[in-house]
Amino acid sequence: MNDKTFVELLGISQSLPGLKAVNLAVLIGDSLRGTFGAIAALAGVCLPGALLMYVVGLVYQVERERPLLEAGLEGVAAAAAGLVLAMTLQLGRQALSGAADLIFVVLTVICVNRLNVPVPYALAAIGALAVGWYAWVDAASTRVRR
Amino acid sequence: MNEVATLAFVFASLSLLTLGGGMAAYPELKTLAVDVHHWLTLPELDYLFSLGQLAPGPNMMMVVSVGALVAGWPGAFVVLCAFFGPAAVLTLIVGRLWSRLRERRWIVVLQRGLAPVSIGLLLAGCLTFAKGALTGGVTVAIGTIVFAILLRTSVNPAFLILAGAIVGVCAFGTR
Repeated sequence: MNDKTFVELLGISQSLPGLKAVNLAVLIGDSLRGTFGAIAALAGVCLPGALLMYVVGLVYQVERERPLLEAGLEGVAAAAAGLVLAMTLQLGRQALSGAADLIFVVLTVICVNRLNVPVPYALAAIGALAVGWYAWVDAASTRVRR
Repeated sequence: MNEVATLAFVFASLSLLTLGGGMAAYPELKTLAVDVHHWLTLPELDYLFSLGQLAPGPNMMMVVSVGALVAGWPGAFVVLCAFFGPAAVLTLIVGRLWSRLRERRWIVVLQRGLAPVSIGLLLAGCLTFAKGALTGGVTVAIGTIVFAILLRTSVNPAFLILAGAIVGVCAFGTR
């Protein structure tokens, strides 16, 4: 597989629902060995972590009342909060441009976190608004060019 | 309804919400797992997600832990298939059509419009997560320091997560 194909597959995996690493594995597997390759790649990327997190789930069920464990996990979760916010900020810097984008981000956050709109509805409503906006921008720019 | 069937339904419905990343589905995961089905509390969900950051592979693998907590290995297996299956099938189909789709005007507009919404959903997920994780002065300080370090350096986040565990044990271990 060459660099150009890889970058193209990376682009597809980012713009579709699903986790980026999983989507990328499916696309690479499919382009190398078809459906069977996609299934093998999916299993390869998921199974090690899945087994580990299965064990974590079982252990946690038994040990969840232990105060020292809870103390450690409280610190772990606080660190993870910093991690996910930093990752989202870095993604946002790459993906967003212009005031309209910021408005759509803020609208989405307000709907989900403040107004408790279920994610599917928020996605449908603000998604339609944002896609409509960029369709209008696209049509307007075509008209100007003519 | 049978717990395993409920798990399958819940996690299949979350699968296609992960637009832009797993975190986009987190508010809905919290609503369903914590508020509707009472499988665990929000801090517990956060703990499992955080441990998942140390595991290899996709960062939402903690859904398997939730499945294991609720219904043992059948629960874990069903959640794995339900959460990762639908998005994987969609990716496979769109990937094969992509050479025909990518030139289309509406695909470009769709991608452009969904970009800010997916970032908004990720941010909403982060804030839901933070509500359960940042509960006092010490945890806010840990989160802020990790956030600042990650923006300025390229240190492996796993070390910071482990450092968080040590600080947590020191700060809260004597309660």
